[in-house]
Order: sequence, then C-alpha cells, then structure tokens
Amino acid sequence: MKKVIILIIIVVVLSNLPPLKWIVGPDDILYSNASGSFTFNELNYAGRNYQLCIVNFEAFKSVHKEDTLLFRITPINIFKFWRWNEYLTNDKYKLHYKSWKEIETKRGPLVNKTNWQAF
Amino acid sequence: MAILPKNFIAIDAEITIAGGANGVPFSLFDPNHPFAHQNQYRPLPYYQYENKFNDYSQFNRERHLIIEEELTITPPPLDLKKAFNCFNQVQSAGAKYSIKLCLDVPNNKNPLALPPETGSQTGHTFIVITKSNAGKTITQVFGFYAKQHPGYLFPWRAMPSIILNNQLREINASLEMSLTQDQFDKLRQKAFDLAKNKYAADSYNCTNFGMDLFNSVRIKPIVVEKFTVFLPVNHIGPNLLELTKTPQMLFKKLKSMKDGKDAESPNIIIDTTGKTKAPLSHGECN
Repeated sequence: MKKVIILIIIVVVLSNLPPLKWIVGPDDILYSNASGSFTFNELNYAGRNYQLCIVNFEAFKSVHKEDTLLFRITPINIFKFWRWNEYLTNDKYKLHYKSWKEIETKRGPLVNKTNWQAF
Repeated sequence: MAILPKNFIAIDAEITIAGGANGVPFSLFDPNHPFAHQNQYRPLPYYQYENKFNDYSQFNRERHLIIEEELTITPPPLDLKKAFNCFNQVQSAGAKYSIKLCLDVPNNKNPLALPPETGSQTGHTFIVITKSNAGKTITQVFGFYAKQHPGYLFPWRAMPSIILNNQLREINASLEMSLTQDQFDKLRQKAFDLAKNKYAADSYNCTNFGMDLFNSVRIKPIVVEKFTVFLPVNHIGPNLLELTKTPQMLFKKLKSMKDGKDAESPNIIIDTTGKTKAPLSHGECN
C-alpha cells in the first residue's frame, strides 16, 4: 500500500514538471467579463496567453467604466492531476469562475464581434 | 459598558475557522477560492460551526458552492469578410491604404531561438491593414492560428485553422508598405482564400499566412530561410522538424534589411524591448 501511494505521488509530481508537463501542453482557457462584452481565448502555443488577455482587458477598462471584472469561464478540473501545479500557482486560475451559460443567456447571440470579443 | 477586573486586557478578535462538509478544511473566505463563494454583508468574515460567537440572525450571509461546469464552446474565427466590410466606412476616393507585416518572437533576448518548451511559445506573425481618408481611419489586425495546440506527438500534422484578432500584440519587427486600391482589393480576396488553408506547423503556419498575404501585393517578395528545430520530447517520427517560414527567420530577414540599409529600411521597425504593440483592431461590420 505504501509503495502504491509513493508511486502515485511520484506520478503526480513528475506529471507537473518538465518535460512531461510540456507533453500535455499548456491549458488554453477562456475569459469573459460578466456581460460578455469582453471575451478572450488563449492559444498559448503562439503566445496568445493570459498576459495578452490582461493587456487587452486593461485597454478595455480604459474605455469602459462599467463591467470591469474579468472572470475565468473555463472550469478547473480537479481530476487533471497533471495541472495541479498550474491550478495552485498560475494567476489565471485565481480569477473567479463564472458560468458561460449564465453570461451568454444575459448577452444573447452575437451578430458582429467588437474588437474586444473573441466569441 | 463592561467592567474588566484589574490586570485584564480587552482583546477584540475575529476568529475564522472554516470546515468543509466532509471535515476537510477549506477557506470560504479566500476571494479567489475556485469552488466556494460567500456573499456576506458585514465588514470582516468569521465563521465557525457551534461557536458561541456565531449568530446567524445578525448577518445576512449566503454560502454556496460553485459547480464549475464543463465548458463546451469553440471560439469562432474573426469573420474576415465582416472585418473587411468595416473598411467601407471610409470613403474610397482618395483613400490611403497600407499593410504591415508584424512578428512577435518568443524570446526577445534571443530572437532567433525557440525556447526549450518547443511548441509552447512559437512566436507569431500577423498582419495590420489600414485604410484612411478625410481624418477617418479603420484598422484591422489579424493572424492565422491552429484552432488548438498542435501537440507533441504529431506537431507537423495539418489541422483546422482559425483567424483571430491580434490587437495589442507585441511587435518585435515589422515592415510596412502602402497599397493602391487595386492592390487592396486583391489583398482582400487573397486573405479570404488563404484563411481557408489548414494549419501545419512546418508547412503552413502563421508566418506562411502573413508572408503569403504580404507578398501577394509585392513585386519583390520577402524570402526567408528555413528553420530547423529539435523536438526534445518527440518519440514518434523525426526529432528534427524543418519549418518553411517562422517569426525567427522573418526577424532575421527584416533585421538584415534594416542593418543593410535596404531601400525599405525606413519602413522597418525592430524593437525587442516589448514596448511596441499592435494598434486596436475594429471588429466586424455588416
């Protein structure tokens, strides 16, 4: 039993470290404000990342005085043990979660995207 | 007013002990806790089951667990036809057009390098198109991507592509040229056609798209060297991957043009400080 526990711990730790971490790739997540007037999708492999999202959201806030809270709309999946390190340390997972269903219901269907909307 | 016995000190303390239903402690008061939120209408939180200080009648508090539902949305691409429609808002007679080929390398200190986490930070090449007339300017900034991470087992496989808005993206090098209206019209059609291509890391990536679009309206096309990368964690197929066009080699080309006092060098910007950003884009129009 002790050996199994040690093995599980080793697998979890190794899967959270390079190079195994690189194999699973980055977790591309989605963001929105409460009304869906700002939305952003990550594609980390090409540098479309959380930092770029923040740069865009800061610019959004400079011209919009309302609805200036950014939410993570991609859920944390506790069973993805290989992402535990990211879940605990990456700033993007510290954003509040908000259900996209809830946001989309409020916003309604999108006809033309503004420059602040990816979806 | 309470009268304290001699040698006693009054201490005003807030006690916070939170326990989950299964006895596993977790902080309900962490504002960023992913699974639990508490709306409370008092200045400082405190919470303890069967605690004499806990008086539910005094405070209006709502506690609830947030279930993070599985998300099943795929962001749609920037509709290029709608993006180009926005240029109609600027009068064409006498309008000035320009196109800028931009790139962002993954490592500003070593622009020709691909970081060890190959595939995680490949850099990016994208396009800025501007039309202006009579004080009105419309700008569209867009680039070509794979819809998702190409993966490490078959990083060269062709996969669905997507066009996305690239406003405020860092620019490490760029080359700008002006266009005639005929060139602009040709460019518009070329953009629609190229956007239909599948993404393949080695043969058709963001730099292929950007350079093909840029070169489609040039007499003297920009040509770059191939870039060979080593895939440290690839165990299936070759470990060396030859990329036909990359931001790294495009950076090298533009820098050599700038340093070599090429005729177009005044239109080339090289900036590895990270301060140069793409302009705001316009979005979509009917």
